[in-house]
Amino acid sequence: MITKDALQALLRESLKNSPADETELVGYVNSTSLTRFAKSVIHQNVREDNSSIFARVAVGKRLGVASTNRLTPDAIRSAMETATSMAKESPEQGDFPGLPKAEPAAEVAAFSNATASMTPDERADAVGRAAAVAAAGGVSVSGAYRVGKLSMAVANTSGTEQHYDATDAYLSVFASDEDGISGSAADYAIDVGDIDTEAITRIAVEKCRAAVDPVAVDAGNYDVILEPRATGEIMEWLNFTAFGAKQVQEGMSFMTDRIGEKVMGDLITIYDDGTDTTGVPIPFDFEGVPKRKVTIIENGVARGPVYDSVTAAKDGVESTGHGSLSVFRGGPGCSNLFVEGGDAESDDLLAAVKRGLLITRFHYINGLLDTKKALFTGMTRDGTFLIEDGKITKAVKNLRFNDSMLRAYSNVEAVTKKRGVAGRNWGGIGSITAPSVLIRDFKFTGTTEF
Amino acid sequence: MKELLKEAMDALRKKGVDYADARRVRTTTELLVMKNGEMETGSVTESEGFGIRVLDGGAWGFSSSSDTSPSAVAEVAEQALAIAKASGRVGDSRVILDGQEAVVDVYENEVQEDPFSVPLTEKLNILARSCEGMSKAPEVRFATASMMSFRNDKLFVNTEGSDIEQTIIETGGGIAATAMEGGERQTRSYPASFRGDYATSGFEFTRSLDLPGHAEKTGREAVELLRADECPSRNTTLIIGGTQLALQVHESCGHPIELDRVFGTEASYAGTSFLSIDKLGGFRYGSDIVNIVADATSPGGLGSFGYDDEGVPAQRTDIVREGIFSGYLMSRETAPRIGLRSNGTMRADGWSRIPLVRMTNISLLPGQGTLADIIADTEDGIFIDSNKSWSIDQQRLNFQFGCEIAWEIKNGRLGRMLKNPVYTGITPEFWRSCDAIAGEEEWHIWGIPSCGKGEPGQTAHVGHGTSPARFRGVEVGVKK
Repeated sequence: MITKDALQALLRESLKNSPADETELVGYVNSTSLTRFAKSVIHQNVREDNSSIFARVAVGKRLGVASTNRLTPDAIRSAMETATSMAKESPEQGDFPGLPKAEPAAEVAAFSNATASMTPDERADAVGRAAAVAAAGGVSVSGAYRVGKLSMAVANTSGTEQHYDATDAYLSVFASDEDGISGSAADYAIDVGDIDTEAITRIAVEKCRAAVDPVAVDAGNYDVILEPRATGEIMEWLNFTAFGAKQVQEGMSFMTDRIGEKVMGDLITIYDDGTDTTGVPIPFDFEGVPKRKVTIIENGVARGPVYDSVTAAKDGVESTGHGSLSVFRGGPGCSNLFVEGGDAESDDLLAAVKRGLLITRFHYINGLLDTKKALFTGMTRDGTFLIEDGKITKAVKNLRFNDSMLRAYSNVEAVTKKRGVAGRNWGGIGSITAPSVLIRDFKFTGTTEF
Repeated sequence: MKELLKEAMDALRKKGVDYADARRVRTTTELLVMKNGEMETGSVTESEGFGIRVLDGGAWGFSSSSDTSPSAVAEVAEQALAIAKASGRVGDSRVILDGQEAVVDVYENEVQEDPFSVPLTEKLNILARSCEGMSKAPEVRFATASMMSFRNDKLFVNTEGSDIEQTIIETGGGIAATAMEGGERQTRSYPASFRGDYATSGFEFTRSLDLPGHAEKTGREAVELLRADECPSRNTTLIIGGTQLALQVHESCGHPIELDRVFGTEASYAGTSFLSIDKLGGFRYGSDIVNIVADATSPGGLGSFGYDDEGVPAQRTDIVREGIFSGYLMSRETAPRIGLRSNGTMRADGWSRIPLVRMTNISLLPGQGTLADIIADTEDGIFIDSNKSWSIDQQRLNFQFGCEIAWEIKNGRLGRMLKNPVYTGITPEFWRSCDAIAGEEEWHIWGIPSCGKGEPGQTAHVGHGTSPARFRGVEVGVKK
């Protein structure tokens, strides 16, 4: 991969050739390898080496964007020219405040040599170990082992220059038996050394074995324990529909006109911190602005969204460093999200449930039903269990929920100290770190056949 | 580049691999989004690279790079072989491909007007007039108009002698008006939600959508939705419009017929399928009038092409015939496992991804009559259209869809508009309740450019031919 100095020099020199008034270049150089397995056999094993340059230019307040995946001065010049032609023809973006001039971001330790150098043989051996653990439990495993390394740089004509190297590693294990009964577990980290293949597989296998002979329970309201992955999946959708300033400004977010109000329970604090290595940090955004720690929900009170330069200018505040890639222009969003842990142990949560459900994870959540009420739907999967008198008594068939996440997270009664780190389902480096939570009276509206 | 890739195939053949193929792909995507007359996004994205897939000792390896130099091609071929050998370290099953004829051909879809030659000012003018039309209603706070154009140049060679060049051009667009009043927020779109409708076609398709001509009505309906009654929760007769029915087909038929999914290769991520092998040829999926095909040869369909990314010719396959589940989407690897040959559905998202079994144009064949005829024949029910939310379980049984808009039907006539409609069901029960499908005159292939599958994530462009259809005894709304 290209070195930090070479990438930064390429961007710096290229900026001198831009025909636009202002220019921003993002260099994104990645190498990603992924081993996928099903029924304890590797069925897909891939590697990708790519280098992308995204050019955003401004001619006055007229903007254009173009990208190339050629790391040459000519290709970058051509992209800047294409973007400039686009800008000259386009109507103005009235809110554009100019490209940000930012101080250097904090250094973060986000690179692991072990992850960067992991070989296909090492990944295959890990899958082999997972298969062996599963076989001992009488089941097979499916899943994915992904490792990636990234070199990212941002430079603009306002003098902003940032660079960052990172790695990430992700293992998901789905254990299943001949009848299709399943359990799953996953982990995500900077360093592959922090991913314990056997331990993750054992959790998935134990859940699968505990999930046999599921009974059907009626839809209705149940007390639920959401494990970290389940909460992480909900947070990912809340991030998409509510946590960015664009969603707030456009009246889509539940926080629109409600900042300062109590919207969730006392035990819920949600923040984004791009420098916290508990997750997988990204210390600056795609505009090159250093990330600030932003508390979005504090003890249930809506404190405000994350900003990029455009939305910040609109609200008369400073960018918090959460700008997205210019080619998508989706508005700002969180990439290293945390739900604060509480003081409970997992057993405390169980003990507090007279009759309820333990949810390992959700499937196909959708948070677009009514974004202002944070009304979500989704299915349970891979380990849904009935809790009776503080104990897990049997597996249950999966259920569909329809509920407001404001209502649900206002009913949180306990939060564990221990948190899990999950990668973002929708890809890209970044993570969601969440505890298990006990929610009273969570609303399920439908059932399925398995 | 072709010679380099052919040399790589020769080198791999000499090393005794079971099979190998290589694809060089160059893509250009133009995205234009205008909101309230201001530019939201104007971007041109270009990507070029190649990928080599190797089957060695019955196990797969794949590597890819944006570096197209001779040394990189040789290196990537070596990496793919090494990765295949690593794959073979786990398990003892061997991949066996079906037999296919080598193909040497050039394919281009029909294009009357190259979208990349249309002046930008002309495209922006269409978007600006669309925003203006929607904004005539003062309650419309956000008037968004967008269009996308894609050019995809692909070169495919393999160790069996195939040599295929394809150029596929796609276009389309859509508009959406969001009205707000007193804390209420409603969006209405045209011709379909989530950026509109797309086709393998030149810019003539985008022009045919006539976005400005539909803008004012779209804005007006968004405002009407603000004041509409909430859709009641009840079990009733449901007539589903073509655009929502396209997504219904996509989620409840298109995904569960992917044979790789049936064999469990997506189990840990997107899930499996209720349409297990034992159901092929005998399972009643829908009522007698339900006929569904996978047809990659449909003119203009967003899932149409000349050859799939294994070099297999595009073709048409019965999926559901007179209600009986009759066929899968298959690859060269999966088809032989049930004694069949690939029906040409393997597609990759660009040069850096391996092909997966993907939907082509999964279409519900037309029935008879018009939507108006079906409504006139319905005593009591709801007509619903334009997707707003979607969710389905991992075996594709329990689904729930929310839509932008609905109308009450009473005594064969459309009545009051209803907002926030949602319906839910179990896939085969739902399709078995289908008792009317509108005819050819209402039938259209809807193009969806955003079908997700696989790890690492891939996005496919797929099509769904539908005409409005009626379903009995459907749960509408969410149980309180």
